[in-house]
Amino acid sequence: MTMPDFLLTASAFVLVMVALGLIRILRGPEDVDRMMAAQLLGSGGIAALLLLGVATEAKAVIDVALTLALLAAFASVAFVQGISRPDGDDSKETRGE
Amino acid sequence: MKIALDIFTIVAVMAGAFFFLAGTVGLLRFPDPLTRLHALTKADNLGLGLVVLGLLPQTDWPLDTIKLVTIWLFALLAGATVGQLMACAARRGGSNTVDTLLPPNGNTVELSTPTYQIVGRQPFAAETNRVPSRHRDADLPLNSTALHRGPPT
Repeated sequence: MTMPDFLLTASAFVLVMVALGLIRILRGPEDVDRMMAAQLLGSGGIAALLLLGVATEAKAVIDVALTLALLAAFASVAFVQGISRPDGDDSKETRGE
Repeated sequence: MKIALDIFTIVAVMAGAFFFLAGTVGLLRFPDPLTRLHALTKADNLGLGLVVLGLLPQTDWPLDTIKLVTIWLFALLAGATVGQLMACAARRGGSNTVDTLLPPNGNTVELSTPTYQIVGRQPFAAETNRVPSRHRDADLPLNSTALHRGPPT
């Protein structure tokens, strides 16, 4: 088994694991849990893309992974912003313990 | 030298894949949002970190190597920020209906109780109803339900 084969296998394994994590989106029970599964999909997707890019020596895939990292972070921050002010008013009123 | 670097790659990538496995199992099996967040951040930081570490010997110095490390550092930064924000959201109830679920005093109500039935786990009520002892804080499980349920009766 050569090194690219091993890296491709690892990439597929990580993808399958992350896809199994998406079951949490079906089961919930809270929106936060669903967003956690999406965040795991983001980081697992980054890892799978990096493994794929190094295995096939396609340099552009590494840039795709960088973009995915950016988008996953923005998605989670947007989610938290959205639930901290559900009807658009100032977040300082609903924040705090 | 090539052999040693290849072995390092294999070991580190397999360890990273193991952390993704652990993160998925934790996300599916843990009983409440904060423990699930704990499992998720392990997969985020350590799983991705080990995969990147294992890939470093296989990439061209310096440009690709630095780019991989940059991706990992960015994921660390984003994971730390998002982890705090998600924990904050989970404590407040984690959905748009949070305002109707919160009692007037603002404490978090039993947001994890329904999941106990899903995973078939004993509720923590038996533990919180114990006779108080000097080591009570250490005995309590790290669980939002137990910490917010008030003094034992």
